[in-house]
Amino acid sequence: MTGRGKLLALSGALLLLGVATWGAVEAALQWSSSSAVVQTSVAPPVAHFEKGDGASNSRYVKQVTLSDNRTRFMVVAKPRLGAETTVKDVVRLVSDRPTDRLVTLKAAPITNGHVEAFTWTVKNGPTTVATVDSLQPSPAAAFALPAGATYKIDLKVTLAEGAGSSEAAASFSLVLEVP
Amino acid sequence: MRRSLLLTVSVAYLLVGSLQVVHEAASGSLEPQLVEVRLGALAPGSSPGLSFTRGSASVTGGLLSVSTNVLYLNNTNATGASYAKLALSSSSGLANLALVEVGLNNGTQTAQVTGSLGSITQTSGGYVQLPPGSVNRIYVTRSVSTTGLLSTLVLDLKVADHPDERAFVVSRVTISVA
Repeated sequence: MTGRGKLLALSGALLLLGVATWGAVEAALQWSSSSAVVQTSVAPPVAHFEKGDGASNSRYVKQVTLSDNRTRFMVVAKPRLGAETTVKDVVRLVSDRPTDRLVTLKAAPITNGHVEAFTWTVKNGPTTVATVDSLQPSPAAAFALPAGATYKIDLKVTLAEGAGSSEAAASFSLVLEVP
Repeated sequence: MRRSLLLTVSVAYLLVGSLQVVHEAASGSLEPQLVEVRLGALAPGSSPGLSFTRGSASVTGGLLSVSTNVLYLNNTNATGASYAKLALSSSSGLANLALVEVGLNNGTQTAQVTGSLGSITQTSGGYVQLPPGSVNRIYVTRSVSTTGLLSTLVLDLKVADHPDERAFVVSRVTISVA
């Protein structure tokens, strides 16, 4: 084969390889796109969060934000330094299924040394159903959510006094999720 | 066109993937805020904590009953009332107390924790209203059987938005009688 022939053959091989690679990439992307659509369109939430009466307590709660599908929420709290602050009924957990379901609440661990206690308490009326302790390494609580039930969630934060922080308080962002 | 579609789908996939994140990291920050109820020093030997939520007071006992306002309990909120009450958390050295009464004074004295002859007879009290912008006090009435011996009462001060306790703050007040 002449030098020109070898060059043409090599070009052809590279072209074929490029087309094959592009096809493979397209196939992979098309496959993953189908997967993404499936994840968003199937399996409606087992339950959802709603804002409770405590969400509007402007003394200790700065903001409560629910995610679009209402399976997560974020609270920016204004606890008092050197004291234990409790706000009842910050959010509510509402069942969306006609049968009892096991649900899990998860929170991010808090490592701030000035936080002496930080808990979310799930209550069915006066009865405590579960407690998520955010000072634990993997804060979580699993419990049965009866069909049609609405549970209220209280927030309790204990902050130590901090030197030079007499008129300031820590604010926290936290997200819980019902899988 | 197809590449654009694929790019869009890829971005969508990444966004959907981000929903799998269970939670975001908790963050802390310091910011000024209104403190509605503040403890303040009143009698010598009394001091609020750095946050003005905690406080301590030291008074000297006598063989006769003496009443002293030891800490301010000020509602600095000009528009909203608060409610406060005290409950005994722990104590020591009470055998020396012939009489002790710790209470809240919003113009009217209301006993919260009482004791006599070394034993506590009332461990908590009911809510006392702290009107908007009001200056209130924590008082101690005491007499001792022997001067110079130390008695200590550690009290939980609970301040609530409303007597039904929809939201409240609990802090610590320590009263020493010597």
